[in-house]
Amino acid sequence: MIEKTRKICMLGDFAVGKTSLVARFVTHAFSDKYLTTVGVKIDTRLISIDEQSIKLVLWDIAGKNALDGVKLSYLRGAHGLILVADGTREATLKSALFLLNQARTEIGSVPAVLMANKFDRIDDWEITPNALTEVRKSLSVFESSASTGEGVDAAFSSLTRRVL
Amino acid sequence: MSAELPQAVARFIERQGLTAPAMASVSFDPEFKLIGRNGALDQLGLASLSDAELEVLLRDVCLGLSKLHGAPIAEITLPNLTACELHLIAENDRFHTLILDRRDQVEGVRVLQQAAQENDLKAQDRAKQLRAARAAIKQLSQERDALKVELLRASARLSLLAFAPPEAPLRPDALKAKVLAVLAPLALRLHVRLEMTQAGASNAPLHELTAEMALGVPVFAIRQAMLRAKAGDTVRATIKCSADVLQVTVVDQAQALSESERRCIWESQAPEPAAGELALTLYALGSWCREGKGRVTVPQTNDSTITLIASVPREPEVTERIGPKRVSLHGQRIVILGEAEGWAERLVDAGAQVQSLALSESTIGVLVAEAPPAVLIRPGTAGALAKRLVFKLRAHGYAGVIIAISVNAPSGAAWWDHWLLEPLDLSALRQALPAPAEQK
Repeated sequence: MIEKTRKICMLGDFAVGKTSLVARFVTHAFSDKYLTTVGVKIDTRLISIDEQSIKLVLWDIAGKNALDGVKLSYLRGAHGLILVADGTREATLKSALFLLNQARTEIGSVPAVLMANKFDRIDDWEITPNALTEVRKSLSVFESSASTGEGVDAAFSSLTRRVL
Repeated sequence: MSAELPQAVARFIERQGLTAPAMASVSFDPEFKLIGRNGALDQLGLASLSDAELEVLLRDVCLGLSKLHGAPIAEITLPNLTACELHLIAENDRFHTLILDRRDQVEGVRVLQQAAQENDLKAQDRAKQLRAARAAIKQLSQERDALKVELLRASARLSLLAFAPPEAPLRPDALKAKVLAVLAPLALRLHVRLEMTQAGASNAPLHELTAEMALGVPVFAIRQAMLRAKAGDTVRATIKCSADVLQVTVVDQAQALSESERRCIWESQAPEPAAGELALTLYALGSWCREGKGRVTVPQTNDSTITLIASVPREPEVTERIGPKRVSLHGQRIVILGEAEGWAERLVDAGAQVQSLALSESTIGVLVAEAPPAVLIRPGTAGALAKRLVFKLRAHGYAGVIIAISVNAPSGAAWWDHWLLEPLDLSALRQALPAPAEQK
């Protein structure tokens, strides 16, 4: 088995759950205490897809609705992007799509998926199904919950297949 | 490992004017093999890593970065949670990674950023609560207006109860006398003069009108105008029986209707919350008239006087008595999600084509692919699962009708089209279902 390494950048507005999703994916842990990320936090996880071993280097970039020069530099060499929106805050979907445009302008058209997070709090959701139907026309979308783990592995696996 | 940094790295630090509580460098050959480690790796929490581990760590971090690119990677938190700043320094055929301790700086930023973002989140929460409160107020206003409409109708009916219903068939002149008799006590109490005229030459019996509609509509319309009149005013009304309608015209002194309210009356829609009394009266009257297939029309007017015309057609359907009928769901194709508890049999008995599927995520693909025209879902104890399932169905583009059936009203956001109370009422279900002709 040949180990491949792929750099994946997490992008999204603040407090949408990027760090929690990475923690869920890497350590299967979750804490509901919000702890902001400064700059970028790097984690890795080895996964197997179709009998191939792939190491994902996850760049969890501090949440903002737009990337400045420093944040754009974090994207250098990225093989894929995970955009994260918080289903309970409609505006974060627009931020995620804006960040995708910004990132693709910087590094080109790398594969990307969208995680519509906090699906365990469906009662509080502001993002509508129709909005996600529209996004699905151009982007893979996963309803996810870092709290329960729903949709997390599926989203990471889906992107990994596309960056192999 | 040496405490001294390589000369190339030291020169770089001096040239750039870099300072940090702790600095370390790790040197690599062109193949990214570790060839040296220097400086305060222990203070950066990296000393315990073997060469191989350190090599892998930095190779991962530098993945995709150009060794010749001079820009540092600022505010980077390594997997061991050390916050640092990373520089790549090329030297002939080798290169160095310079790691600067930035823990204090990052922690300072983190504290400020955390406070700012928490405040922002609180403000967003407050705005959300405000939006929810406004929506609730709007909903309550609509419910209040609906109750007002009911009250208007009930009070008009109460006026009729004081009198025995007229015996059919009524003639227009007898109707006029009855209306006057019902309203005379109110006119006396309010000190309002009521002038009623009978227009049209025909005095043919009103065979096809129910007694309640024939008497109730004029009483309702005129009574409300009287209630809005001032003492000493005169309320003028005309009852006219033409070929096929009973037409009641009342001059109402209430404030003129706005264009949007007028449109509501024309389009038989409930007026906006906080609509004027006249708009509510007209809506209530209209809904009552519509029960008899009649309508309320409001001619254009430029002053504050409204002339409203309530008409009730003299058609056989007005008096048609609809007895209890067996509800037919013939031609309906319905998928039931989750426990059906005897529904399937009832729906099949009523003529529907029914398919039962488990309340699980795996059914989403099936439903989206097969696109049945209607899905019945019983959230029950799995309410959250049902909501998530319905959301995903919609988000995957399912465009059919989704109907939830439960014993309690669901709370929070939901994405089904209709909610029906359990036990299942087939006629309510039939109304919620798309017409069989619309089903593919």
